[in-house]
Amino acid sequence: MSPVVKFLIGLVVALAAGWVSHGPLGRGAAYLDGLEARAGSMVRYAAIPGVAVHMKRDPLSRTAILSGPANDFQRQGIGSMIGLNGRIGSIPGVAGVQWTDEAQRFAMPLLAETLLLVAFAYLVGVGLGWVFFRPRRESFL
Amino acid sequence: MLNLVQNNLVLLSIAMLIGIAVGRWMFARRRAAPDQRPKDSPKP
Repeated sequence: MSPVVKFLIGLVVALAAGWVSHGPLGRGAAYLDGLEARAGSMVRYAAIPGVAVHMKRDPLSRTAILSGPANDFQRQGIGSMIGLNGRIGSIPGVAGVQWTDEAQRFAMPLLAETLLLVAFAYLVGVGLGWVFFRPRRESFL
Repeated sequence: MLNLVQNNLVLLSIAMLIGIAVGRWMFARRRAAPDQRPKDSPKP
């Protein structure tokens, strides 16, 4: 079997493991639930009536979707007064903030990000395999 | 992104182990079978 086929078989297995973890095992949704809870507490702290937040779910994405009546000052802030966008955007793991009444921007799906990370980790592993198991010239001295 | 990596540390470790195993599969030198001596060679 050629090395390219072996490499592709391993890549498919690694990506399948990533998909199983993200989808059927529910780690992707659970991760977004945690982010959503933190963003919700941030909105409650800001105490702007009528504003709600949820994470983008179709497809799962690390983008926070805000809805409700809020003016530019409440959204963007001014000077050292950080608005809701800045507060929620500073939560570790949140990749972007959008309002429902603004033009929707592209948000990379969480599954794609997870699979990219898995592919990178797989490549690192293959590199380590090459370092440890590559054929070396044998010395007869 | 760092937060996402931290959340998926187990998964990424598994992917890396798969990569190491495939690397070994790809690059390890194939060993000669033990019974490949010439037929007329003296037995040990």
